[in-house]
Amino acid sequence: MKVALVGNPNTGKSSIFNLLTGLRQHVGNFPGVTVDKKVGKLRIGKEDHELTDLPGTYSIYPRSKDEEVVYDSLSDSQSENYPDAVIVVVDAANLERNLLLFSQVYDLGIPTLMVLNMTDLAKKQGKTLHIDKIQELYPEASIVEANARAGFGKDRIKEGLVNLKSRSASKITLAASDDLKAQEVETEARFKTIQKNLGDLESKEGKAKEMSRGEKLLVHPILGYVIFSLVLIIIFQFVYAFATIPMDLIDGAFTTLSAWTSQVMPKGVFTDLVTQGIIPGIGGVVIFIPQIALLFFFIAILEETGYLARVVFIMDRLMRPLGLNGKSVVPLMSSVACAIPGVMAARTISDWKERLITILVAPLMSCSARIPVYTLLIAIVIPDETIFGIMNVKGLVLFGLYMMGTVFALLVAVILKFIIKSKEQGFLLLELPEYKSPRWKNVGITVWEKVRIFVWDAGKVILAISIILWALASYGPSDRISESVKVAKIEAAELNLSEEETNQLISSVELENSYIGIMGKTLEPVIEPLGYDWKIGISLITSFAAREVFVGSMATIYAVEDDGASNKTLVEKMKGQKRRDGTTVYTLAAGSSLMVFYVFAMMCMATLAVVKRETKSWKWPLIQVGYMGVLAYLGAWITFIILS
Amino acid sequence: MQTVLVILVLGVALFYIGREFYKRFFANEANCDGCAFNEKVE
Repeated sequence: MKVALVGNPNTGKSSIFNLLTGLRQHVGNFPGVTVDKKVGKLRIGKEDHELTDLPGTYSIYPRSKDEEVVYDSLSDSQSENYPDAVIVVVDAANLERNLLLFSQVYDLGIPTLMVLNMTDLAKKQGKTLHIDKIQELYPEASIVEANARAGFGKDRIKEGLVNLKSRSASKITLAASDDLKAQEVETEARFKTIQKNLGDLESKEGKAKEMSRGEKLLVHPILGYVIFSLVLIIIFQFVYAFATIPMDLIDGAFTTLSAWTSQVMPKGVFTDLVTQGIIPGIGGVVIFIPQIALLFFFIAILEETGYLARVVFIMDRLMRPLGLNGKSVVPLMSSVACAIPGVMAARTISDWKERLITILVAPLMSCSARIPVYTLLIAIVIPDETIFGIMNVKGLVLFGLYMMGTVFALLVAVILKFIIKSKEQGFLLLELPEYKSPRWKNVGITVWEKVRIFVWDAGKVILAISIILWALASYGPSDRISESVKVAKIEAAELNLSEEETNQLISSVELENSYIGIMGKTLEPVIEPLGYDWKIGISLITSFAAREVFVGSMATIYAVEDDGASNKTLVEKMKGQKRRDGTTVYTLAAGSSLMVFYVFAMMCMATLAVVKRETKSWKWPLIQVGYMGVLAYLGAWITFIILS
Repeated sequence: MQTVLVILVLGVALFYIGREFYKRFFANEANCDGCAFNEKVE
């Protein structure tokens, strides 16, 4: 049986979906987004059913590309997404508004189950629902109560699905999706019916709740931003404070594993591949699990408590004067996790020019893929100091990088506003949910999903690139390598270098003359003004596939250089990197320049593919690569000059 | 033996990267699970 899950935004639809499917869910090809097709397995007895979470909408009539999915899936019985049954999640505390969508779905004639969620909030507001009266109004629907946040109602919903009432044929023919007049007439008629019956459906005691003082502070035109900035600073401080120990342990474990493997495996090229390519490659992925898990743990808590909706609200006020659509806030906020859902979430913007601007600036928001790069570089070049005894400088730098991306996203949007003119002005319709204590199962699922996607999806690409990189770094034109090694041996003899130093010099020369070394050396003149050496250049090239590949590439390059024999961690190796003239490679200026480069550069193949698909053209992704590339180069160059 | 293993692993890595690139930029997405909705909205 195919079951569709529909409901207004903020009705706890996702919680119901998680409650019913647990971890047996997947999100198509792209990571955790609400605009995507989220499908899960719903087990009733011994049978598995397909549960699809449709995008949240206030009415079946669409106002955005996103909401068209609901209209198309439910209105066309020939559609492959047409369900055998529909679960409509209704917020018991906002019955009047929620019944519009429910009545529309009910009238379609599909077997319908109403799940009255958030009944505890309705009670808190002094509302009593008369389920028998609701049943009288919609006699062919099944109705159950649930409280997904408390994990209550799972069995009732399943039971409700088993006992769904068979339906008579559809009572209405939906208005065409572009016939606004007909939709308006129908919607008004429905609201009249709902309002006429509302007094029977629910009764209310006491007055409507006023906004508390604390609530007013959180959405205050000035203090709201100050509080949000403080919340972010605290989160980044915590991320740094808690993630360091497990990250050091993982780093050390992989270094030891690499050294141990090279001892127990027979000598040969495959052993080299394992110890210098595969193990450092996997290590480069696993090491960032603590930071990614922690960051999403805090973001999930903000979302669960209802604070993130307030942030969207205050950010809307900030963005409007800058010419962005209020609805751009959600895609931009989503891009902090990953630009892919961010770009796709821009479908909710009906005006294409505003949508385009949002898509073009969304990748400037610092995504989770940048965390490994920032973390590594901060560990190398930023001193481990505190301000006022409590504020970790490293955490503040991380916060600053996130802010830099956000500020430039807004600035670029303003510039694009003048280049791409828009006649229409969009609006933001946002419902502020009640403050709630976080539901830990949902937080856990979010963290698990983000870590799984990073390790599995990004990890496969990182590993494959590490293997290819190892081959390119281990082989090169044999004449050129043997000639260079000969010169290096003479140089070592002249300088009276020890055996260990001589071997180090030979390894460096071999790497420099490998295929990857030749490529890096060719690129070096272009990146030298930014303070980078050719090895950084190689990692810049490979991380065009995905930013996080940078770390794996660095790990592979330095592992090949010391033949995988060193017991040093990647951070130690990078800190000790010297140029031929004895100067340090990773100075504060070079490291900061590299961080700024990563803030701005469009280095994500998957995002480019999505932009191409969403804009149906190669033109916009190419423009995006171009403008972000120029911004990255100039930003990195200026940073290097200022800090040198 | 070690050389054969390296060639095999390298071949798999190259194939994977090539396939990912093709899938993301050029493949027909008709059968793509996550893209079913995208087809609709396009």
